[in-house]
Amino acid sequence: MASSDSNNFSSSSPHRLPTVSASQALQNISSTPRRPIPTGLKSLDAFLQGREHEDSSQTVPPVGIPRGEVTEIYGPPGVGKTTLALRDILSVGRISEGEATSDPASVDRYLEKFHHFITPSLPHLLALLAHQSSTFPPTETNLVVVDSISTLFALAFPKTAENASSQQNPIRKSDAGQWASGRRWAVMGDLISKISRLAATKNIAILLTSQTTTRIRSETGAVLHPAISGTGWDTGISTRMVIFRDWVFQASETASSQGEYIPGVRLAGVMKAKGISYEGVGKVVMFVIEKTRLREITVDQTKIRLNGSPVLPATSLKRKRGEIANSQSGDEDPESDREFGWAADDDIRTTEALLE
Amino acid sequence: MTDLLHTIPDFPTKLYTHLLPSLEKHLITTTDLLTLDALEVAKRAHLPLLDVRRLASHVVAILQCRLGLKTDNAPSYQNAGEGQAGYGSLRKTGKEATTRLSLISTLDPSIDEALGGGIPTSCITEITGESGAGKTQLLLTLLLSAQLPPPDGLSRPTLYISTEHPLPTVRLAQILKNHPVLSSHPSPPSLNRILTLNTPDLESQDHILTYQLPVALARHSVGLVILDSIAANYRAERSSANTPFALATRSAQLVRLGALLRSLSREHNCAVVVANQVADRFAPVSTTSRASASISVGNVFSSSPASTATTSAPAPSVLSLDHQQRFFTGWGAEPSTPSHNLKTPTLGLVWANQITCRIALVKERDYGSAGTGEGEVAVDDIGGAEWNSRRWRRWMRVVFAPWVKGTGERERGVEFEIWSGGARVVNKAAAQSQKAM
Repeated sequence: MASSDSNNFSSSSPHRLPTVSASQALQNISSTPRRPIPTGLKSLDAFLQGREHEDSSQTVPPVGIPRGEVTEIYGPPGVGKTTLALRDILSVGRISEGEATSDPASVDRYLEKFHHFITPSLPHLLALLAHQSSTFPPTETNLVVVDSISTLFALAFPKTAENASSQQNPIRKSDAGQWASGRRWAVMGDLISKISRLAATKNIAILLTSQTTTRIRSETGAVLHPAISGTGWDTGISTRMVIFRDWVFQASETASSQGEYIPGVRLAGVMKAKGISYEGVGKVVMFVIEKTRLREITVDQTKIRLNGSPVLPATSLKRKRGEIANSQSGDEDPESDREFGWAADDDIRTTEALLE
Repeated sequence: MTDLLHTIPDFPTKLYTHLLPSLEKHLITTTDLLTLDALEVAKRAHLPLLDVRRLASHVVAILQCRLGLKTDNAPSYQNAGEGQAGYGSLRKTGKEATTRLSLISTLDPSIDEALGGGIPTSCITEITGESGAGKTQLLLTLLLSAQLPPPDGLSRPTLYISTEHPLPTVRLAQILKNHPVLSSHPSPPSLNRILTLNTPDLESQDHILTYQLPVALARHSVGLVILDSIAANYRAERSSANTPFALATRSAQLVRLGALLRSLSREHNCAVVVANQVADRFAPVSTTSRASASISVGNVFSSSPASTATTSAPAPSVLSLDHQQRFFTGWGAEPSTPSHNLKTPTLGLVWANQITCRIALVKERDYGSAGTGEGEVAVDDIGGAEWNSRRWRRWMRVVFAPWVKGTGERERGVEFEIWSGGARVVNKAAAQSQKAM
């Protein structure tokens, strides 16, 4: 017990990066298998490593979700975040498509290497990830998936409600109240630095999924935004992608017609890779979710037309529209232009997979 | 520290009575205790450092035990590792995690197939649709089928929490009598095994769900909880207050409610099914003038002159809520959908983030077979006059679910009808053709 109370966040950490000489590091890259974890989508794998496009030559290092770093996926409900994360867990076990069903023994062997933790609250997650434990992560862990991390923050810091209630509850105005309301950002920063340190020291790929919230922009209206964000958080995330939906058409010969609509297309936009941010939604890969795999839709702009989102009415209409939506449907919350609906997931769980 | 007992319900607070009031007063939460250095906490709350440190390490020890990280319990904290009954270990092996899905059948093979077998336990499923779309009918069938032995059900009692109208027992008895599976079953379900609760307002709903529901679940080993409907009380309350404060409070309430239902469904391995209402969606004024290709794809980002020409539209607009919600609300996913008849499930994105699965029930007035191309509606075998579905056609579609493929936006879903025995698929031929798709 004495060992575990010395590892609070700010105290001197037992995790310390061992010194590696530069020449050793160079050798490590070429010799040790720091294999990234493939997502099953070749172009996405390349983008995640900061490459421009998939390179078919054999000499380039393998691509995918980077080890030793933190990757975040966010997107609206039902878009496929969990599916993508599960797919990554499978590729850690090196179970290729179809193989899983053919040999029950190999499935069993695979499942032995898979651990599932349920963290009903943020303290549970902190106890798991941020406090040293001899049994976590299990040795030779390759991938840790946290699905979904924003749920816990939403629960632990019902931020807007607390701020709003400050008018009524005098204690909130006190020094303690102000301190408490700022804790969300501090905890966020602490957690992400702990997580990224865990990734770096153990050479684990850490994949976080996050829900979305809305932010109101004057020119575009309510726009989906990751539920957890902030300077501290963003610096800890080295790779970030968004998954969203759009109408994708197979372009036809005649320019006037819409072309054939391809249903069910998801778009994964790599917004940040290897610490470098891209503009907008970044580099985009299109895919559909099939029964046993993710299938990439080949990108060829002569054949496929994206249909951008509907242009929203002029700015003057904004407020009006928001009010209507509120009174009628309880839809979104345009009044609060900060993260208001930052909220949660289908299932709070921490999954963690390990491999050979 | 009010959240300490939420996080660890059986925490031995007696050992720390001298600390907790001060921590409480200084608004220090369990999260703070785990993230801050004990020194800082002690300074803030004016407490002895060593005591704070002992509390913090005790909390960590208990949490890590619950998570299955420590196999040998530290002797100094005797009750640290003993999980209460009902609080299973939070750690599962891969095998346990994959075999635990048990399903409640809807007693219709085609609807079950679209749902991937039925409604699973341990998660929140939402059934949304207009009034009269068949939500309650589907829920009533579930109340009965969950009592059947596997594979149809769970052999466990069921619980119906109503916010709008009391449980329609007459209708329930009618379904029980008329549905072939239920009436001919060797161990038929019984109305005695359906518990009901009524929550007329938000305050009582909160109280009942937080304090009475867990007890009822444990005592009766309930396998299915139905909340019909989740939105009613919120909508009633909201009409008066539409301020940012009220909205913020509601958002926090929904997050808490979602977490509560999720943890109950997990601890008791029961299915939670909520009905949700819909509201009309106000589509953007002009849906015809769209920004074409406001994003460009992948490696052609810089190389294609066409794409650079069209980047004038603000790039993130593709992520606008108005556009993205077409895909997770259940209405409007297909580009050709007319924009006038779109519905949005109530409670917004905040609630959509809480649920595991969303099932949308769509009803449309039947104007003959125009525009559907699926043949005629089967109207000849309607059970009773009061269940006349002649004028409405209904479809069920899975909007999103982690365990089964959602209904494609091209398909309208599984067409069903309401009859004296509950809900059933209308037309076998139509169901077949959808399977082929």
